[in-house]
Amino acid sequence: MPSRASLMSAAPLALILALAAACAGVQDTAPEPSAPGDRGGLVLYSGRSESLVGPVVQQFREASGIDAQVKYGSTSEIAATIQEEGGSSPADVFWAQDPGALGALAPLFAPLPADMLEAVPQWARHEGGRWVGISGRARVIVYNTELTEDQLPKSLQELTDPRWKGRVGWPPANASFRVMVTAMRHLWGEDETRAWLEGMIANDVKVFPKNTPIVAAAAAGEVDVGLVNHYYLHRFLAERGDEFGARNLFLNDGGPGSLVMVAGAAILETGKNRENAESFLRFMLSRVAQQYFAASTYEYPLIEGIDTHYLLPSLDVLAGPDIDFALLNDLEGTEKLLRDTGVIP
Amino acid sequence: MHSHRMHSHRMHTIARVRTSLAYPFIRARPCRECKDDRSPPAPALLLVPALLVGAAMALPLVYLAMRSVGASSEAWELFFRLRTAQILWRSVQLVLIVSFGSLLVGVPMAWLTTRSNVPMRRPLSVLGALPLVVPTYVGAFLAISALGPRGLLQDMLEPIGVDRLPEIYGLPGAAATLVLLSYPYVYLTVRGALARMDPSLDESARLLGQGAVAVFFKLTLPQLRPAMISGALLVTLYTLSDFGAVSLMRYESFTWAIYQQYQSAFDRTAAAVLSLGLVGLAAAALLIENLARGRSRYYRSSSGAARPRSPVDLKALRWPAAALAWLLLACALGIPTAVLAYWLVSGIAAGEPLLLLWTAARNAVSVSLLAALAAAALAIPVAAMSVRHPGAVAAALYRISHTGYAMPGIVVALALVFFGSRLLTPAYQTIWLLVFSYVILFLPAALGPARSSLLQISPKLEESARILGASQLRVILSVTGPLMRSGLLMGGALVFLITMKELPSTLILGPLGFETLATAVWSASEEAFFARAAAPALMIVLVSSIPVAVMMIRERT
Amino acid sequence: MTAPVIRCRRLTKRFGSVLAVDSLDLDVWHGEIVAILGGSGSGKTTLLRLIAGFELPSDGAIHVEDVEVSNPSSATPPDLRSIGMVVQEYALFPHMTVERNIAFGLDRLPAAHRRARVREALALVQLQDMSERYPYELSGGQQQRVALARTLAPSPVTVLLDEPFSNLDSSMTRRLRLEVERILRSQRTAAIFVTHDREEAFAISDRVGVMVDGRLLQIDTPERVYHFPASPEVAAITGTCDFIHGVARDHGRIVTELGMLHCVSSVDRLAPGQYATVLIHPDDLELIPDPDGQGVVASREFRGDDVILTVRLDSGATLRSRRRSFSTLPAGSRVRPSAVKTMPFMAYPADP
Repeated sequence: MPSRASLMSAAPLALILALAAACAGVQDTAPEPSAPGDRGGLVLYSGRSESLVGPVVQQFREASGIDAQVKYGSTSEIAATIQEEGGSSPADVFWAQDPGALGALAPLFAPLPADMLEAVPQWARHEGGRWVGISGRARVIVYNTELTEDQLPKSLQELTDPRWKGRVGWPPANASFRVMVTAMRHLWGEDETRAWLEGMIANDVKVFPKNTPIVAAAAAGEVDVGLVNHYYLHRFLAERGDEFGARNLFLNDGGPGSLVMVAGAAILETGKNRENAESFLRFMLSRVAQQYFAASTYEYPLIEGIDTHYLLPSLDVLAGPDIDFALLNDLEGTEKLLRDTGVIP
Repeated sequence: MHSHRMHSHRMHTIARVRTSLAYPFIRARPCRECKDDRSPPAPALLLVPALLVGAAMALPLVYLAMRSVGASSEAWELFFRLRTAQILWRSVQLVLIVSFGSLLVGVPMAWLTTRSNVPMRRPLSVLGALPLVVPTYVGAFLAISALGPRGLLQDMLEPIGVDRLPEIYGLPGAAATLVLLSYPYVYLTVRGALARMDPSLDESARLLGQGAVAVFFKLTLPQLRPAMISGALLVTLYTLSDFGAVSLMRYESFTWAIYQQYQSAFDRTAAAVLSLGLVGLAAAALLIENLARGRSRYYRSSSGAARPRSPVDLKALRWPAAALAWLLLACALGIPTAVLAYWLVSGIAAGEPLLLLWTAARNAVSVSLLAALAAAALAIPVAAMSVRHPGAVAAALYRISHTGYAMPGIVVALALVFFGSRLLTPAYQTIWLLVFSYVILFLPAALGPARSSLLQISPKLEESARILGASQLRVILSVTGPLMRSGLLMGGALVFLITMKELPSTLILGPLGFETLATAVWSASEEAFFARAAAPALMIVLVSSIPVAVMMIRERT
Repeated sequence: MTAPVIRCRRLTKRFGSVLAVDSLDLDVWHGEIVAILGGSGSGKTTLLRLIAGFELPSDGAIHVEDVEVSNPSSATPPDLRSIGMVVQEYALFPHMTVERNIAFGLDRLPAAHRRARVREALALVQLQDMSERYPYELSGGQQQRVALARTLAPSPVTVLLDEPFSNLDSSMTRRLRLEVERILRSQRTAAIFVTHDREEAFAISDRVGVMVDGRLLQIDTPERVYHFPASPEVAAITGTCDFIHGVARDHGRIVTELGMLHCVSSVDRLAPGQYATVLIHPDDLELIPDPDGQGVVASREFRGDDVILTVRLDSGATLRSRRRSFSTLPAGSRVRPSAVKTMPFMAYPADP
């Protein structure tokens, strides 16, 4: 006769086992495609998060009948994953947050058809035709609204001025920031860039891990200005309303601080669904998808004829720097400079 | 002399001896050379699974070694620069402060909730463990939102003229966040040890005229040493591998440097070389643990059957003690949940839909349960080797089992991407490989409690069972296993709680389209959709509190 | 049956450089109770663990009923040896009731049969009412009896007992060891038990083996290891003993300070003229008050049942004498000691 004590002890164990058994059958993969007009599958590795691109991916599924399965992650993690998978990667498409990751992985990508590339401006695609920009984002200076018009910085250079000591935030680990520094090296030259970086450090610049907390910090007045991409602010505005205490400053001076760059996508050479992958990219460059980016993620559409969000200055107005975007792939040089100047360890 | 003999099934038993195949013991060397056979050789039933676990645990190391061998001289130069030493030192400082801080918070909290008559002991017991489920990237962000120089607190104090609170960034902020979110490792392991402790020792000490305070310091604390050490070790390794708190609190630790390499340089080799440095730090921590542990071993044959004890009467200190405990919980749990609730409510007010992510919750619970079961089961052979058959093999297994835990999740995940996509293609991007990665990451959390519960079981019990005719398997199933139950349950629960919030591995190794509560939080907070992040974050806390509550209620029986 | 239940041949166990068991030969026969007597560190527990199969011999072999179960390269695992063992701490499974503890070794029996046997075992140790108790609810003596019942239930060919009484108080020890003997005898189970207590060893065993530094120096009936220890070393372990020097004559006679003593020797024959030392137990020494005697009472130790008098001879040698408790010889008084024994004394060759 089993004792009461042993029954007591067996009960939770049995419960756990039963739960585990029940759970083992749970959603192992996404549901099997069953729609009529089933056109096979597509594996998308997305460095852009589901909260941003989930709806437009769903639109693609519905429009195409292609069962697109997505792995979401941060761009850098996804990039490293693809690198580790090497030839055995199940991915068909890599959608990245920034051109840096795309540049680093370019040798793994298949060349894209010319008409697809030509849908976007020349600055928004890979010079070798291996990736294409899907949406655009601008570098801005986010500032606390307590600053008056004349208190705002006029240029990046100005931020090394003692007046800004301890009042600036930047995210040196952020890939877009790195692209900006790369642009800086080409526009200003190596020495001036180095001097600026050192000046910023001497000026007690606040280091943040990424963009979002900088925007939050600027709104809270923890820092007065921060170097970020433009669209984070709009997410805060949407959630917190107009009293949110930060706004964007577009430098618009043709310097590295007014850089516009892309989030882009590429097709992996090793992917098994090349045709579906191309459909996916074409869909993302279609009016439907581009309209979505403009309206829902506050990004810049890259094809002709789509209006920019009314809160944003249009791309034509933004005086982006005149720079050969191929040069922006030299992330290693930037990495070295940032390390030499002590911006990163 | 030859009165009634009990039924003679003696011929049967002798026949068993005769027909049994002599089985070879596994030994390291052929016997003729063995001058030294100090400890009995480990049986194959134990050694083989233990070695398999060890091999699995070594995968990330093998991966790092492979990546580092291919590393350019530049990557190595990077490693040997002075800044590396500086960052290493920063990590060491952080680890020391967080470990001691966790002991300082966790041990009194454990004692209060098990041994004293502090008011509302039950709710305190359950809530005390919960900060563990708050991911550090959430906890740190919320701490900054609430307590930052211009956070919610400052907002509230604005009317009385507080314009700016002192900065919490850097070492103080990172250390405070990590202490508040990881002290439960100490709290839970020490609770387990307190529950198993022989009450008669306390009673006799009290009879010898020692006050409650003296008993705590002279008797209880020394007996808690192994549990404190294993809890502190978990805190140490967790702190080493943490990225969320250090990055948001802007404290440049070693793991932070490793992430830099992945995030912006897309440089796997440099990251691998740096990760080896982290492995070195973990090895040092294990060495210190070994020294601190000393050769203490206590067996208590009457384990598990502790008599109910009467709690220590705190008298006038009851309410102040309760106030302190609640203050701790307010910081560790109250602030995060309050901020989350604020976001949730303000989000809903602004028109955000309230999304209850049932699929994500179910997925999170199922993989966490599987990970907890697997880790608890696999901890048995490693713990048994280390306790019952100490030696070079056991020590190596024990150490190697801890390396995964000290590494940033992304390193372990990428190691499994490397091996999984090539060698385990059918399992790749299924929940099985994902659970496997959790085991590699979190086995030590199950190992510590398993080990300390095994330490309290006399090996004579197992030997007695053996000589009563039980096979090794039956001994494990009917004697060792049941007696280790509380330790295994505790370890499993710990693994469950940490897995609930795990992020990098879940993102990288999860099946396509796989969503858990943690990934939902990440996906929303990454893009500053805080209202959307609040619901899944609160769900993590709520769902995780269920097993904790079950565990605490069970403890009473 | 012709084969011994347990046969150890040249059994050797090394731990590093320490020889725990040194080329030991031992035969234990059916129904026999053998005590292994030795101090701590003598290797007696290692011997039991070797027989049980928890240790692998470095050399030599062990047979159970003529089947080899251990040699240096292979061993039958403990669960297949049909040997029972009771350890010092009893090792009752704390999470099982008395009944389930006893049933543990009977899992191969059908349930009804198993229950019957558990009842038999409980009856044997007279704990019928305790079957639902947990070990922590039992007294030390009860725990010990449960341990014994658990060990005997599967009818092992031999029971090994490791210091079975050392955890109990002395009054209980006497009662329990007779009880244990009764139980073992009733089952006719061979038993080997190790102990450091010679009284315990003598009280219940058929033969006593004396172990020193891993070697079995002598194994014989309790009387013989007491009266005729094979060496002074054995003598020191089996009894309170003193030695007196002498010179051998012929026919086993040895001239000592106490006069001519009839002796047998550990060696075949002591040659006349050879120096020897003679074992004197306290019981062997008579004391007669005599102002001209060659000894003086140096101290007295009153023990209740008897009194031990230490006598210093004029030569400087000291001997002890056990007198009846009402002996009134005070310390300091002169006595004439004489060695009296109904059997020969034991003598050993000695240096001059």
